[in-house]
Amino acid sequence: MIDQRDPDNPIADTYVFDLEMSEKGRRVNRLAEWLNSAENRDAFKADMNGVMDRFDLTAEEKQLILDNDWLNLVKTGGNIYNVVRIAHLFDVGLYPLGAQQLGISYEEFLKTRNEEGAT
Amino acid sequence: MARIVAGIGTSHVPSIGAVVDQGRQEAPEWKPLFDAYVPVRTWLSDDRKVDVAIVIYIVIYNDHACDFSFSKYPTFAVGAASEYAIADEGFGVRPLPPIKGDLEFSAHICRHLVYEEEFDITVCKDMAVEHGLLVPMDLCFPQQGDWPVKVVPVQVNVLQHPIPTALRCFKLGQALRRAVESYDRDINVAVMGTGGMPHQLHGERFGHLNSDFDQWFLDRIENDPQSLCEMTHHELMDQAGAEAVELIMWLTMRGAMTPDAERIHRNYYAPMTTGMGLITLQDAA
Repeated sequence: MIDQRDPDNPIADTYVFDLEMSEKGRRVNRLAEWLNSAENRDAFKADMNGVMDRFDLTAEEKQLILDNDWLNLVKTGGNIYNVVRIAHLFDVGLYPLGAQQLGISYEEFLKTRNEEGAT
Repeated sequence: MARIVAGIGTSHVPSIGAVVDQGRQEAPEWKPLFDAYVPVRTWLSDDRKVDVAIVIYIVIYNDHACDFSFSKYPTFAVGAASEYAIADEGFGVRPLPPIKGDLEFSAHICRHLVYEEEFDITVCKDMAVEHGLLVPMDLCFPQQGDWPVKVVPVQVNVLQHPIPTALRCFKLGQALRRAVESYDRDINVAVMGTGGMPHQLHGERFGHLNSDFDQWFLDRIENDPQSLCEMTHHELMDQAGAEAVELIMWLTMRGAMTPDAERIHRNYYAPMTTGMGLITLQDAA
């Protein structure tokens, strides 16, 4: 069998979403998938802690969300598309979220792009 | 008899959908992308491709934890319904008419894949579709009102590893071609492989682009798809970014076309975080 992954040569700064990551991020991902409904998004915005408790988030996971610490939410098993869903409820879009993961400002990030208006 | 009249490889970057909804296609930073689809649309509506009453697009796409959840994430899922709702991806439902299906054709595809090809797909009666499928439809069919073609959605897990190999995706395309050619109604079918090109959205490697890889991939998908089938997920992610592994879905489209298919259009534009690629193929005359 050809090994599709190469664990001896991990890709730098990359956290491939596999079954181990999915298990770690199970609570966060379930919450995020539940946000695919306007009613549920309103419920989250009205009572974030209550909703996070309902999905059994750990104290650490809750803090990462409240702190908008998207990079560590990814590292703790949040699938990126689900992290984007949660960030959206804090009015953080994909590119600012990306800049934060890179540790630079949004403006600095845009300067690294070929067409910075294509947001 | 049903026949495949076109193969299309295209990106499905979600910001394209937002640009369409906001009517910003003519903005200078977006015009190069949308202009590239003008000749494609002319080609797709030429006499040879719409000379029958029914035109069906088999669209290979991935769900982004939207209609499917990681609690149950099918490796290959095929729609068998007469209509597919527009999904809420967490940002509201886009103002688009539902996608129309063709139940009889979908059912044939499902039976053929399971009975004749040993592709034991998940068959979906209810399937809400999202940007993975809708953005390619936006680009190819931008007119107002109902969609002019019917669709068979084919969903591939490219999010939660283990995901199918590149070779398996190619073989699915070959199986889809045999499924189409064993259908006895007179219909025209196009196969669309969507996703990519290079991008990485998570971690400190956010924004990774590799335009040399993109041009190489566009060459290979046209002339040497077998070499792409040999790529591992690691190689793809290493070169093109972790989320670019979805390019394996282009191989399903390629598998559905003949080995000597001729390329008609090709475009590449990389304004922001993702290389937006386009290629169209048709069987050699």
